[in-house]
Amino acid sequence: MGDAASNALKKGSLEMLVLALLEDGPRHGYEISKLIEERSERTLRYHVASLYPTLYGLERRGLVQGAWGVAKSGRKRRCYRLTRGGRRVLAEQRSRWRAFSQAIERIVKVRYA
Amino acid sequence: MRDFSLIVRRKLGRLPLEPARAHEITAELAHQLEDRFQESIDRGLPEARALADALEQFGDWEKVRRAILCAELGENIMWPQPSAVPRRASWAALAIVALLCLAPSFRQALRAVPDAWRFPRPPLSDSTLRSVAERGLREHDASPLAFAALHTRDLTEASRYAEQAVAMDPKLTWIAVRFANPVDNNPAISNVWMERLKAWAPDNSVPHLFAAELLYARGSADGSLDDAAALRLANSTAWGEKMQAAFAAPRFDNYMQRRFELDRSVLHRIQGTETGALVWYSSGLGFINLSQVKAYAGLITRTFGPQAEQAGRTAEAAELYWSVARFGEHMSNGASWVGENSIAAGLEASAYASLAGLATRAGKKDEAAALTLLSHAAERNGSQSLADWREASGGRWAAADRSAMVAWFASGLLLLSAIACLAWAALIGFRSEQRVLGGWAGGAALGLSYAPIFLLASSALMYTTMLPYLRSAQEFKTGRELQYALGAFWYSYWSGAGFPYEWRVYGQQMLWPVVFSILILIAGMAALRWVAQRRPPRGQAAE
Repeated sequence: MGDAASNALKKGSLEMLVLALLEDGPRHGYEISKLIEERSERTLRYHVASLYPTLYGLERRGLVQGAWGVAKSGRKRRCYRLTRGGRRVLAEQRSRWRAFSQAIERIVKVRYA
Repeated sequence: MRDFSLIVRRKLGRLPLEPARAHEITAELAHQLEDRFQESIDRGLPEARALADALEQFGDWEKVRRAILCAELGENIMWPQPSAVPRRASWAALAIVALLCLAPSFRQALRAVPDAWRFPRPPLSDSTLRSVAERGLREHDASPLAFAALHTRDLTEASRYAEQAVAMDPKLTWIAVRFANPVDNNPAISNVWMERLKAWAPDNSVPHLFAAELLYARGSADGSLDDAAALRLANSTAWGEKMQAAFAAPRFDNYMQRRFELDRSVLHRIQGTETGALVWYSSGLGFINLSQVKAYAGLITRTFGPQAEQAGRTAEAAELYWSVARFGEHMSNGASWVGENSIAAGLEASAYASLAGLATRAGKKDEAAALTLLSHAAERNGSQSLADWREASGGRWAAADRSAMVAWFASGLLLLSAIACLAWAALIGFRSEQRVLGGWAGGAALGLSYAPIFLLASSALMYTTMLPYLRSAQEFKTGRELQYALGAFWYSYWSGAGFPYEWRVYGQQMLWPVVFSILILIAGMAALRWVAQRRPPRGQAAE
């Protein structure tokens, strides 16, 4: 896949990834970036220029809520938790993503069958 | 221990957000940097490498900054604003304008700005003149009362001030010239003052000229009379007698100099040494009707004199011609402007020529030659002074017109720039030096960011153009001197000369409604912004 297409996919999906990772509980920014990296087996890596603005945008829209607290490491970190609105948006995005990926999968399978 | 917050602040620069929010973001990014750094150290990397690795995750810091501001302030923020004037340059421009305001002459130029953008009208309103008169009464000072009498537009009120001024100081009776011209005034009032002036200054020809003028005005529809019409007027009315009395008087004084000195002294007390109002007031009043003078002199030199000669009454003819020559001389001595000088010289030239003819016919060749020389000299003086004046004033007037045109334009630009500066200041707010604006406010701020520069440019242009004309009234000894030096500029400036009439009328009529509309618009925009800032962010209600 070309870099541009890859970047577009990454950029478009970051919001959903963040919301999905917060579904299990509050997390801080570094933790989110590490989890994306680990769970994607290093396929997805986001620069700070993408991750934090996304978090701030979600917070501004009321989908997540940030608050200072003590992380598992014992350090003071700003942790984000999903709001009710965020859960609803995540459910919608997840549903759309599922339909989208299944559609793509069907086409790709037919093309290369 | 490394200060990661300091690293982030240096890399990111100052965020134009509320201080608490900016601090929160910096701290959060510093933690991100610290966590990655610590992880690298834990993996056994040397510190320098660990730091480079931690910084690498941020990529381009400018992109980070821009993305954060976009997320915080909305999608449509105007950041960066490549074509906007740097904020410091705008403040510097405003500071220079403020410094210019320290110069009294610049303040004088600023005070004159509104005069250029309204239809020409007297500098002091009747209510101001009323308070000037009240001040005169309170301080028992006749000068302010006389000033108010000369310039109050309401004739009855002006006449009352004149009565009070003359009662306090009879030497001010000359202010009767304000009312003595019956053509511009109520005849009932003017007759009273005309008689008072005649009684106060019986040797002055001017009250007689005013008395004759009403009859002359009635007799000449277009303001001039040929010899036959003048003769009819003289035979059918008392015009001839009144003109004869004027020509026989030994002095010509229209009190322009006294009026100039009074105006200058009272205006100095009211508004300092500014010249604008003095230029306005030192013109207009007390001018005599030159056409009437020419008509009567022509009647004598071309009709009455030759008739007397033909009838053999040469002594009478000579006396008639001499009356014209003497009047010309008196008028020349008391002339308040070049037109009077020119007409006076013309009277003298024609009278001496008639006298020379009379002497020639009487065989007095030497006397005739001397009179002819006098006639030529008077003619030369009259035409020369007029030519000199035209030549000198032509260049001066052209320059004054050009300056007035530029100053007029600059003053309009200055007004609009000043309003735009207010709008700019209201939009960016004074609280945050680098506030970033979103949407329409950002677009407007981008355009308005040029306002201070325009304000400085228009101020400098107006000031440099007007500076030669911002002289102190104390520099001028006579109203004539003042008019020659400054009159052309100020009249052009007030009337917007040089610009097409439609532009002028449109500009003068529309400027103030436009100014008020813009001010209302600014107030509305500020109110909208205030409301928007206090509205909770979108989606928060979902919580």
